Amino acid sequence: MPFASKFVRMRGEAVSGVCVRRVADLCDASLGDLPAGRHRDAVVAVREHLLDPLRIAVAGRVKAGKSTLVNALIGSRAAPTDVQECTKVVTWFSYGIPERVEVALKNGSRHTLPLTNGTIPDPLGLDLAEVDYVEVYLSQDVLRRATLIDTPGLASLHEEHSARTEELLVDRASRSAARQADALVFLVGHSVRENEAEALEAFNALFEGTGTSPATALAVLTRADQIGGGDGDPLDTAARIAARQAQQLRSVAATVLPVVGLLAETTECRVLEERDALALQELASLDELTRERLLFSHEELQTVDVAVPREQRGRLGALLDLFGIARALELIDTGVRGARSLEDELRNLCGIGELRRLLDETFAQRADALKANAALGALSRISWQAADADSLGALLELRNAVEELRLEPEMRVIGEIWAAQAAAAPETLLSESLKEDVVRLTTEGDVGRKLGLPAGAPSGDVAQAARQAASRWRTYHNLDAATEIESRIARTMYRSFETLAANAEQVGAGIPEGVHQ
Amino acid sequence: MTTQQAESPPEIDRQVAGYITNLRGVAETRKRSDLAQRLKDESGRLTSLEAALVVTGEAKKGKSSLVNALLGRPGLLPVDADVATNARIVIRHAKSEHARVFRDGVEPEEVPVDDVARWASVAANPNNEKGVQLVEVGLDHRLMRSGLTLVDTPGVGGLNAGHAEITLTALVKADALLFVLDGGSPITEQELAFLRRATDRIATVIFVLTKRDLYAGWEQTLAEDRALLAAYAPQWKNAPFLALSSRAALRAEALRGAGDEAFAERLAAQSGYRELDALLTTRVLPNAKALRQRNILQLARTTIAELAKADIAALAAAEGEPSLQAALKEATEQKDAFVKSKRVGNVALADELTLLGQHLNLEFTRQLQELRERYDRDIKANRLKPESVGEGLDSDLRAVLARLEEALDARSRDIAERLVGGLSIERSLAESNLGLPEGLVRSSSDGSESGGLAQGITALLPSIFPVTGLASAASLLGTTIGVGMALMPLGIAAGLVLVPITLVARRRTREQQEATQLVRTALERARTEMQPVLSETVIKLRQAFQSDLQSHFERRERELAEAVEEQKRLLQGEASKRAEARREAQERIKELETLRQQADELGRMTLASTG
Repeated sequence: MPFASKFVRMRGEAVSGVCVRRVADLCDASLGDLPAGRHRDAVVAVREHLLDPLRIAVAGRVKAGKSTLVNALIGSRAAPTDVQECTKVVTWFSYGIPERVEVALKNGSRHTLPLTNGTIPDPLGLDLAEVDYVEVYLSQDVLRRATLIDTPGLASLHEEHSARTEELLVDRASRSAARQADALVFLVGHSVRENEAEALEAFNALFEGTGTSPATALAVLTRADQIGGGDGDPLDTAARIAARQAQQLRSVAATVLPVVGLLAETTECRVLEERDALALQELASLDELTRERLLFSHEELQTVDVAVPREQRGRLGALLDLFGIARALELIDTGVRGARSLEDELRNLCGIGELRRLLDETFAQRADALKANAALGALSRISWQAADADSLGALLELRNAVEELRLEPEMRVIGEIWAAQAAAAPETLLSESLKEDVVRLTTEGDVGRKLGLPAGAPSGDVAQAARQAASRWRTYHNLDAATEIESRIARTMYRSFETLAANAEQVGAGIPEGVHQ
Repeated sequence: MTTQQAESPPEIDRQVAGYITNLRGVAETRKRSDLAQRLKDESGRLTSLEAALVVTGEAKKGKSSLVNALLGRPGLLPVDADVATNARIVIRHAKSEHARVFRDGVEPEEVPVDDVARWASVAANPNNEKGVQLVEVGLDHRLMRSGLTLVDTPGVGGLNAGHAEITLTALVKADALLFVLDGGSPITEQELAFLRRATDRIATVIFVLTKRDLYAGWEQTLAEDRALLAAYAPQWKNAPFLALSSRAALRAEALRGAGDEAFAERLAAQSGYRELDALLTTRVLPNAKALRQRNILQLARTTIAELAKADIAALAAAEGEPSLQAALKEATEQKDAFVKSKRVGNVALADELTLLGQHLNLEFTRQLQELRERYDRDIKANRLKPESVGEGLDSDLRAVLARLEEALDARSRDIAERLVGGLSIERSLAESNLGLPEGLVRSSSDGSESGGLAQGITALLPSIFPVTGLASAASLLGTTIGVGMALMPLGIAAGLVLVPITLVARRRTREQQEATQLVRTALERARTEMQPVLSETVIKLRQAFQSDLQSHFERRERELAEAVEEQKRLLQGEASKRAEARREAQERIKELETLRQQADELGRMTLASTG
């Protein structure tokens, strides 16, 4: 498809960093050895996509609000949210001009469609069973730095949808070796269900490259406004529940963040109009009792007799939900006027800013390491695939090269991310305290906090704690580690702790950090 | 509203009760006080009629709010976004309000009704440290008065697998199921899987969608749920499906008489609770009642068939039926064999019971093994947090006991059938050319249940079941709904045995390896301590079988011997005496046949009353 391939490299800003460059070199070296065939094609694909922006998948249950959150993050209502099972196919949102929708069919062909009012046409007008995935190219700046992947709901009764998600996230076929996510945003509901924890673990167990670990996944409690059954302040309750869920999921996700998805979408996509603001002002002028009644339920919103037309009330309900309307009325009470100001205030309370900050800290700032990590995982899997005699030697070489690269001091961060994923895998047996070591080391930014000390702890304490941790891991390595994976985690960990200790000692001795090595 | 109807028993209730009283009289007249007593026991249950409605669904779907709203009692059950129910709560009728807490190894304890939340929520009782098995609440509420018992269960599908088992075992004795979904998202694969497991034995399921006030798109969700049910659980595609707002119902209640009747009325109508109330009173209650009535009518038929045996023998005597001698011979042989076998250790029965004992042991060991494997796997896979291992173990052990009880129940029925069901010649006697009514010969049924000789016999062996230690142990442990009835001495003993295990199991730990070890220790102890209970159960079972079977065989022999004596006397005497005896026997048989026809007729009426 010549039209499509013309845009293939226009996916935003290339990730560049030492890790990605080293992996690219490794790919190039391997391509020099590999004969033509599917293994080579797979490595070519990994190499080609290595420089793409970070890929963040959004996954979760049906109706968890995946498309709503994707829209909020993009700042454009590109994903349809009002259909029954919103996302039926895996959809990639990448940076690209002209804005368009490309539908990849299973037979390898592609169809390019225009967006309808800025949204993916629904229905697509193609047989869904034939569709492999959908790529949407948009000119939103935010997509220059990250590609977002909207996934069909897990635990869906429409089994084929769940299967599609698995196919995407659990990358088995070399065909999609390069089509996997680098990081994951997992949406949870009010109670973390068995199958959600299982789904997270399934990712872990099945794809080494981007398993869920606190280093590569964070969770969002969407629909935070609907918690608490409509009485009291739902955001307080949501914060409490999210904190508890974070505890439950601590070995697989960095945190659980409450977000009011619909408000985030409405405010980020700037869809509130002045007529909406005026209608809200009109509602705010009603007496207390009428206001309360109006906001009791969506049915009452349509029933209570007030001057604002029903159609307009329905629009407000759809854009803000009862919670958002209630908050908007309170804002108007305090003097806020106009659609833009209301949007700004509402955005502040919906949690999307905090999510952006976290995505930036957890993922974007570490894009180099995350991408390199995912690519190494993919290369490792390619190297283990069955092969004929011609490719066998080159694949063995590739396998060794991947292992060696992971152990290099320069690639330490990647090793740590890998260790975090491996430590979270079900078959890895680590004591809780060792697991805590891994989680802290890979998720904390401050050196002290990486070791369970207060932020900014004196370098002497840091050095001592790091030495102790290193020795803990050496002991584990020598006595307890029962599998090759466990040994590798242990090696990675004690090397990292030793490096931390050495750095701290040099800082203590007045040598600037980083000179070491 | 339709509720008036449920408060005064309709005609059919009166008729069934009258019929059973009449049949009891007939049994007494015919010197079968054992049968009369059995009928009395059963009809006692009929009058203390309760329809158990179990509220079930995933966690945080609003089950407890639903119960509160249905009863118009905000705050009765623990409700909070961050609070989850973790014990079964049974709400039944009582003249004065009260609440009782059933805990491990402790006498039931009266607590204030306002304190229910303190005993039945995760927040107040994490990991069920207090060992609460059940909270019983007695209310003088209209719905309870008309015979409804509500059971609120912990949510299933959370990270606590044990909760699902508690709910499933609670469902064993349920009459109807209220399956709770919420308006925010369509039914999932897991919910559907649970629905399938739960509704194996439940005929009435009402689906409800909660929180309709909160979700703008609830109508779409409802339509989608219906479509999914039609596609994946077609047997429920026409089941009632209501959209509810517990908040609206409670608010409406609070606003009544507070000035704005129109608003209150609108909320009440929006809440959907009127439809739910109507469904319960027109469908669930009568259905449960009808089911119990059909059960007692089935017992009546069995009783009649048993009574008829003596009359059939008498008729055979008057008719000079030659096979009567052979029947007596067979009955004597059977009795002798039984008595003899009892003296020498009762080989057949002993074999059966040895097998049963082995089966129970094997089953128990196997289930513990499975449990251990599952825990090992879940702990290792992080699916189960080490600190919550205790709580799950506790409920899982109880579920194992409940399954064991079911196996015991089914097996002992089997044994009874095999041991007693063998009087072949008696059947041929009944089917011989004596001009007997067809219905009496074949234990008939109204089509809803299968009749038959074997079923008849087991129905007449009531004393087996109360003595099975496990049955009552499991009841005490909170696996049946009728806890009040099930507190039997043996059960308490078995319950006490389990206490140390659950105490061990309830310890909390944060380390995986320690948790794995804990599971091992707890299950090992459960095994050691349950072994004597299982052996004891089998011994009690043998005693019950022996006394019941012996009197059964002796009675059969006596009746047939009397008939043979009578036959000899009649054959030597005048023809007019024989004609007189024949007439008498025929009249007695005719009376029984009339009674049987009445039972069938009443059975049809109960069926018709439930549609």
